[in-house]
Amino acid sequence: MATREAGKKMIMLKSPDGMEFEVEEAVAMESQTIRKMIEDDCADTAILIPNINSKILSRVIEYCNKHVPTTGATGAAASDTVAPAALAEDLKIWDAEFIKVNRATRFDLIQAASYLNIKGLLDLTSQTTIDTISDNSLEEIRSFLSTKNDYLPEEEQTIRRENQWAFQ
Amino acid sequence: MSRQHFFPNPQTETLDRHHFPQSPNPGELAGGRSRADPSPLQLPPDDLLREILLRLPPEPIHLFRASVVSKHWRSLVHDARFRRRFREFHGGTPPVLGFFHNQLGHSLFVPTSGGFALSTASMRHGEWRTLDCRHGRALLHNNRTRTLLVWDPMTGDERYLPFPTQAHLEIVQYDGAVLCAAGHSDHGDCHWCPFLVAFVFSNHRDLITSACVYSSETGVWGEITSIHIRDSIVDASPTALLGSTLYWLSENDSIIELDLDKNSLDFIEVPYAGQIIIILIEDGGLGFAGVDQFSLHFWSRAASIDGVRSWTHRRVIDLEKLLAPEVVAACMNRVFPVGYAEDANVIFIYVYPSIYMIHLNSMHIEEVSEKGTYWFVFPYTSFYTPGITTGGGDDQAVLLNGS
Repeated sequence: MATREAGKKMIMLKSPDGMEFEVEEAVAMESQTIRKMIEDDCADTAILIPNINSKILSRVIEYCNKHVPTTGATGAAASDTVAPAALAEDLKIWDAEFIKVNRATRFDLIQAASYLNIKGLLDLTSQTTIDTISDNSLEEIRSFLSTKNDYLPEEEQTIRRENQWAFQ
Repeated sequence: MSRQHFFPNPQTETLDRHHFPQSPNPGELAGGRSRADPSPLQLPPDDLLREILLRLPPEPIHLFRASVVSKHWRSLVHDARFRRRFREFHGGTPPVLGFFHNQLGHSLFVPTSGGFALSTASMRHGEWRTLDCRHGRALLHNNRTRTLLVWDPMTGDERYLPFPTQAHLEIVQYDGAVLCAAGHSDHGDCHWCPFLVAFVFSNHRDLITSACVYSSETGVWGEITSIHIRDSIVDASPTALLGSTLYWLSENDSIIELDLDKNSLDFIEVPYAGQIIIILIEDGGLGFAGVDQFSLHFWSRAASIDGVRSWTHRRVIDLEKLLAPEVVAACMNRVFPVGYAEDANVIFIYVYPSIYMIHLNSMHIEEVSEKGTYWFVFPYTSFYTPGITTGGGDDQAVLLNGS
């Protein structure tokens, strides 16, 4: 397995479109899926990440780099000098910027976060969609998700009758 | 077929709009593109949709709205395993949706959560009286027809019960309690479970207090058990359930207990003068809360090493620190505990002229927007649960068969 400066263990992640990303092992292990592979010794030279293209994988690595606790280059420098609350605030602002992506990318990120089992990224990417669902009309949600209302009028009446608490 | 008739009409617009603040930055919705993004997009696969839906807020309106997006979404939301995960994701604590009460001048139910409201305009005070709320159901009494109503406001299910024939109402004061009878520990989805109704009544003349229990499974009232309580009768106040024992306040600062397993009554004296509310203490024990000036006192009952049960003063919350100074100044010392949501661990304190909910787990305090003089309140808590028809499918059948 590759190694780099200061004895930091490096690991190679490969996307199905042929791109390779050399990342610190600690960063890669933000993903519970990769952590398990490494711990089970299934990661000798490079890990192929199926179904996640290089564009999305690079964003995921960017997220993990930022969120890896203390061992990441920026994390280590920051945690020595900055109070935890300020650090958390900084991360929150960074997250908000990070998630300013179009919906297709957002869904790809959710899928990647789910497959790679990165809880923070899954919370972040899902929450934005949740806010979108909560803040908009049903027609807008359907439009947003390209899904159709397939309820028959009589079924809608039943829904009304059985959920009067929602229609007052 | 046009689908425009369902939600765009004014009535349903309340669902779509009124309960939800607009996004502060709507353009962000589609990453800077317009809301009605015309480009086709593959829906996320079901497992991802579930991950997203899991993170909806716990108030029922959110899962309900998701369930009416499409039939496919309904199947995801109504799945019993998904709803169990949803409850777990939200710490098993159902949201407080409002409270029933018996104060004239207000509708019988006061909502405390956006997106949940009940039409109780036809249920007049004086004719209807709230006795209890628990495990997704409310227990009400109709004075005119002398019937009890077990009402599930979420599913709309209504069951009318006759009064126990032994209760001679002309000379008694009474109270009741409703609870799930399924015998499980997770009461987050009990809407279709069998239920019990306990009825307690005291005779003014001989001070005999009696109780009997109705089972929805047998459809009959059980045997009556009685006890003589010195100088006291049952008070019309909120109840508490601890294990299989129900507790009511009585009128001279004591607590009446009904052991449902043994079908036996007893009473416990309380070392406190003034209005109290029975609560459950963090370790699962019986407790009560009372207010002295602006100090909210908590007491718990525990057994000593020799097995004698006694009350211990547990903690004090300084309400002056939680309330705004102008609220403290304006309340004229009219501060009482009025209700307790046992599954959400939320205590309701009346601070003239409003009610405040204190979430005891987080110490978060919030004011109920509808002001009024409430003596006792009966909080209603629930996660979303589907109605009997729209619930449909195998999961609902399993629930029904299992009940």
